[in-house]
Amino acid sequence: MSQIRYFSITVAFVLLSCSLRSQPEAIARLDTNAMLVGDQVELTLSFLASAGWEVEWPDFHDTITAHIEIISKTRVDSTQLESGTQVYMRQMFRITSFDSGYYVIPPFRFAYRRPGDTGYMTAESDPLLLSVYSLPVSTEEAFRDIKGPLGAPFTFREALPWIIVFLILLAGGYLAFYLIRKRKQSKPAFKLFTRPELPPHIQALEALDKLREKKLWQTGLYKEYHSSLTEILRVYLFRKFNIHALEMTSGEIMEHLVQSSLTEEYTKSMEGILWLADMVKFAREEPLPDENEQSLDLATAFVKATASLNGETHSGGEGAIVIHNDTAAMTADTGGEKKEISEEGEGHVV
Amino acid sequence: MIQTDIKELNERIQKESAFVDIVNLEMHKVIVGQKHMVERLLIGLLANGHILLEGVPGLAKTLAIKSLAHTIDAGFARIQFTPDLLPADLLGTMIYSQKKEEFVVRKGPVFSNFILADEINRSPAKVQSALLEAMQERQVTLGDQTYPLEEPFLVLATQNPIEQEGTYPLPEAQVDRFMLKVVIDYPKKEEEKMILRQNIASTFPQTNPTLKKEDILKAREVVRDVYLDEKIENYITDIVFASRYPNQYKLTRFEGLISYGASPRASIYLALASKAFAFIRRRGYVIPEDVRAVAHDVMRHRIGLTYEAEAENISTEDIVSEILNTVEVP
Repeated sequence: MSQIRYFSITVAFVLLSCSLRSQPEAIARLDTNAMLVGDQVELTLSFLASAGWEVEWPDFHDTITAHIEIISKTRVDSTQLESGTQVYMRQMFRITSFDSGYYVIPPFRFAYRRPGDTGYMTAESDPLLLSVYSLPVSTEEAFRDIKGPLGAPFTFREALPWIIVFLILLAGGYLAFYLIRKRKQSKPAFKLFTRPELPPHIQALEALDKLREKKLWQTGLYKEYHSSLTEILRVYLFRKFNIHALEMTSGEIMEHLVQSSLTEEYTKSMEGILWLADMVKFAREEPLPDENEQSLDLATAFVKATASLNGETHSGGEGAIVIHNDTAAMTADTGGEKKEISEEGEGHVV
Repeated sequence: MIQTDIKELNERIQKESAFVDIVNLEMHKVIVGQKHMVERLLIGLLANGHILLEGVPGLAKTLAIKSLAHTIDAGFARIQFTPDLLPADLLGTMIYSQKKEEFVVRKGPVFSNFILADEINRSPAKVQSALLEAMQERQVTLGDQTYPLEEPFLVLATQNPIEQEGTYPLPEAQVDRFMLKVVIDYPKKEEEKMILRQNIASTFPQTNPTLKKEDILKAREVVRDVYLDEKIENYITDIVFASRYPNQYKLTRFEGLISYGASPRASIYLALASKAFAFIRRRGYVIPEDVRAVAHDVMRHRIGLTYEAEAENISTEDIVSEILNTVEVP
C-alpha cells in the first residue's frame, strides 16, 4: 500500500514537472534601469517556448511608450534548446528617452498557440522601470553658454570615401598628364605588349632567307622580289646605322654610305642592288636569273659584313665604318675604340 | 637583262634630247650660274607648263626667259605689267577699219609662243585674270570669235617678293595655274665675279636660235611617253595627300599650320614635271629622285599656311621638305 502511494506521488511530481516545463516564459530585461537624458539603453525581449508552438511577437514601430523611443532593433533570433524540444527567441532594442522622469515599461504580451489548440494563449513579461534623469542644475552658479556638440572621434570608415576620391583624382590627374605628354611627343598613349625586337642583322638575314624561300622572281614577280629585297636592306640600314633609308631615294642612300667610309667593294655592291631594283621597280626591267640571285647574295653578304658594327655612319666622326678590302675583314671605328670584324660578323678589339 | 620597250624609249630619248645640251650651252653663254632656274625653264618648256619666277631684282630672271625664247626660233613677246595695263593691251581688241568699213581684230602680245609677263603682280586682278585665262584655256576670245593660241605657248612670269607696296598679289587659284614656282637665289661668289667680267666687257654674248618650234613639240610627245610606274604614282599621291592630311602621314606637328593642301593640279604637274626631268636626265622612266627634284617647285605655291605657321616662321619650303623626309620612298 505504501508502495502504491509512493508511486502515485512520484507520477504526480513528474506530471507537475512536465506541466511546469511546458509553460512559456516571457522575459524583458534592461541593461540598466537608470540613464541620463538622451543616453541609449538596451532592452532585450526573450521568449522561451516548446518547439512547434506558434508565437506572435509583440510589434513596435518607433516608440515603446510615449517617452521611450526605439533607435534601432534587431531581428527576432531563435535558438533551439534541450535537443530541440524548446526554442529560445530573442529580440534586442536600443532605446532612448529625452524627457527626465520615471517611466514604467508595461509588460510585453506574447500570444502563442500549442499544436492542436484552437485559440491563442498569452504570456507576459514583468513590467520594467526606467529612471531618466537630467543633469543637476545649480542655481547658485552663473549662467553659461550652451555647450557645442561633443566631437566624435574621426574613424577610418568616415575617412574612406575621401581617401577613395583623393586616389581617383590622383589617378585621373596622372592619366591626363601622361596622355598630354605622349601627345606632345607624338607617341601612342598605350603600347600593346610586343616581343622584343631581334638584332637588326638577325632580322635582316631571316627576312632575306624568307624572301629566298618565297621564290618570287621564279614565278615572274620581279617587282615584288626587288621591292622586298630593298625594303629589307632599308630597314636594316635604319635599325643598324640610323640611316632613314625608308624615306630616302637610292641616290641618297648611296650618298650616306659613301660618306660612311665603307670600302668601295661594299658601296658598289649596294649600289648594284639598288640600281637593279630601281630598274625593275620603275623601268619594267626583267633581270636575268643570275642577276636576281646575285642581288640577294650581295645583300646577305653586306648584312653579314656589317653585322657587328656599331653606331651611326658619319663621315669621319663617331661610329664611322671602315672596311678593309685586302684582309676581307673590316674595322669599325666606334668613337676611339677599333674593332676588327671577320666575314662572319664576329668582332674583337685590336 | 631582258630589255622591254623602255630600251626603245631610252634610245628615242637619247636622240630627241640632244637639244637639251645645246639649249643649256646657249643659255649659259649669257646666264652665269642659275643652273636650277635654267633647268626649270626647260622642264616648263618640255612639260608644257607655265612658270612663275620669283626673286629679288637683278638675278637675271628676265634675261633668262628672253635668252630661252631667243634660243628657240619662235615668237616672243614681253609684257611689262603696270598698274594701268588693260586686258585689251594683252589680248588684243577689235578696231574699226575705215578702209574695210568693218571691225578687224588686232591681236595682242599674248598671241606669241613665249610670253614674258614681267612683274605680273604689278597689274590689277582683271589683267592677271585675262592672262591666266589664256594660260589655262590656251585660246582667246575677241568679239564673237575665239582664237586658239599657237603651240608652243608658254608663259614665264616674274614677280618680286620684296616690294609689296602697289602690287596686286596673285590669288591662290591663279597661282595654282603655274606649273612651277621657281625661287631664285643670289649667285655664288665665283659666279658673281664672272657676271661682273661679262658685263664690263665690250660685247655682251647673245644666244643663237638653235631649235625650231617643231623640235619642242616633238620632244613634248616623247616626254609624254616617259614611263611612270604605279609605284611612282602612289608616291606622288602620297606627297600631295600628306600636304592635305598631315596627320595621316605622321606629320602631326603641321596640324593647324596648313590651311589648305596642294590641289589635284599638284599631282598632275608633279607627274609631268618628273617626266620632263627624267627626259632631261636622258631616262625613259621616272624614278623617285625625279619627283623629289621637282617637288619643291611644284608644291611651294600650292600650300596655304595659317597665321600660326607664319607666327612660328614656318614656310611652305619647310613643309614640303618635311613631307619629302617623311613619306616613304617606293
